[in-house]
Amino acid sequence: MRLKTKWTKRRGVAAALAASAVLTLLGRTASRPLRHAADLLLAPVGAAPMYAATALKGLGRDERTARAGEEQVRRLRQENRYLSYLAGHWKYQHQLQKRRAQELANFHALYRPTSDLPCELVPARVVGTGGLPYTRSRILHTPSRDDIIPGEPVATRLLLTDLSKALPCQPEHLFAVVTGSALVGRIVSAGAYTARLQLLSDRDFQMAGRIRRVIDPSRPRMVTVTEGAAAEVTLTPENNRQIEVIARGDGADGLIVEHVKAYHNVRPGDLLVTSGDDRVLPTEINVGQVTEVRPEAKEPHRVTLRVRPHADLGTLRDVFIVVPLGDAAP
Amino acid sequence: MRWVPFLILVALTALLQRTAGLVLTFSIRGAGSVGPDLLAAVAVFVACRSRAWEDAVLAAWVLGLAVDVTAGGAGVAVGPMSVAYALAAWVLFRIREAFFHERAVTQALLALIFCLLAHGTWVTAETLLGGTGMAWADYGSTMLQAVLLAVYTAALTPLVHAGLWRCRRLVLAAPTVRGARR
Repeated sequence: MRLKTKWTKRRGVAAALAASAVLTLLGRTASRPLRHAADLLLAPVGAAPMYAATALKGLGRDERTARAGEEQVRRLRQENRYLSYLAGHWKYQHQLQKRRAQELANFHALYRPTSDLPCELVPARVVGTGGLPYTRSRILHTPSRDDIIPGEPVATRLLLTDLSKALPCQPEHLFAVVTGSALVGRIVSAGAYTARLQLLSDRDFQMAGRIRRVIDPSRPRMVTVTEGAAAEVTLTPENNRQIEVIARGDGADGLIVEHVKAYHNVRPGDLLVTSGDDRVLPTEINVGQVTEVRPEAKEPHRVTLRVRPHADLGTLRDVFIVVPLGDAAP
Repeated sequence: MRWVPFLILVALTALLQRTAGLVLTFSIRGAGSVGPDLLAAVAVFVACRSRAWEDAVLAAWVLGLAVDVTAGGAGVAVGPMSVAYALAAWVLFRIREAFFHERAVTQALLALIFCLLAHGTWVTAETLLGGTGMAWADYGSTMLQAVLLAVYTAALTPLVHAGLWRCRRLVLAAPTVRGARR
């Protein structure tokens, strides 16, 4: 006996809702391939509008900077004149030192520790944002490789790379993401030709870092040195040890560092850098600058720092995914 | 409903949301990022002008699915937003007769209701599901974001509707003889 069923819109609604329920129950199993498919579909056409959007956003920022810096321009011009005068002197000194440096170059080449990071930089371009503002993520388009793994660091500097090497996958490592000069986030998911970059400011972003206190001779600061007998001394290059911290995204446009001991006397203007101990990013990279130091209500001997990212996350465009090589690979 | 043009409209709006949405998104200290949900504005337009509630709900489901697959972090499930959109569209369809939805203020109000329903449901569902993107500790702040998003979307909805009104026949016009018996 054949059962005849008539397809109606009401059944269509029921089927759609049932499909949603199934997709919800499947969770990541379904969401990843679906999102990657959507990313693949929209990424190629997203590049041009994203270019316009970032250019537009950057334009507004430039205007604000120009208006804010008008008074500074006059002062900078004066400084420039003075620096031009000094340039002649330093030119002579430079020639002198150049000869000496040449003599030492061979020695340094033989005995200095290698400064190159054992990594591969994979160029990627921001072609879209997260559709909703709840998570601060960007969709990356990696033009010529399909083996980017979740958690790889990214950086923004154009570089040709060897694109044929397969990568080992360890999803438990959510590595840092950097621009040419600063950290911007990390890869949280990846598919063929696309990857999802979680920005520093995402509230789920967390990283181990260090606070580097900037020494300003005109504004000396007192700090407590805990080595040996604790004593309050003036901060100098000799006792200026970096402070290890855990930073997390504030969900808006920066980072928050909590529970920093007040006796470290961290000030606005100090820098947050990566720890350099991470095996997938074993180098110190700028993350941001401390903009606010606030005492904690519950623990008066500790402070909370607000950090503004060094990179302009709003106008992020070209980035590189840093793929560790050799022993540093996950 | 003309589904093929509608699907093209959905794809274009999703693309616009993911790219131009960056320009429209800004940060509020204490609340986080706030940006509009352009797909919700389209859903409100369809819910206000479709002939049958099934059309409104199905269209909203498609729009919600587009939000689901284009938005959210890696750990957020696909599905809850399409259900939330469908639910909100059904509510909007039921109450639309009480409003004179040609007025900009009314359109904004309906968009506010839609977004509060859809995003409120979605945030709660995602928090219950416990994806990596949401947690109970952040529930209050995420709901605040949802409310601000709803207000922002409501403010932009009259503009979106003005644009969609010009191409309504491409998307909404239905053949008049459908279902006629010979």
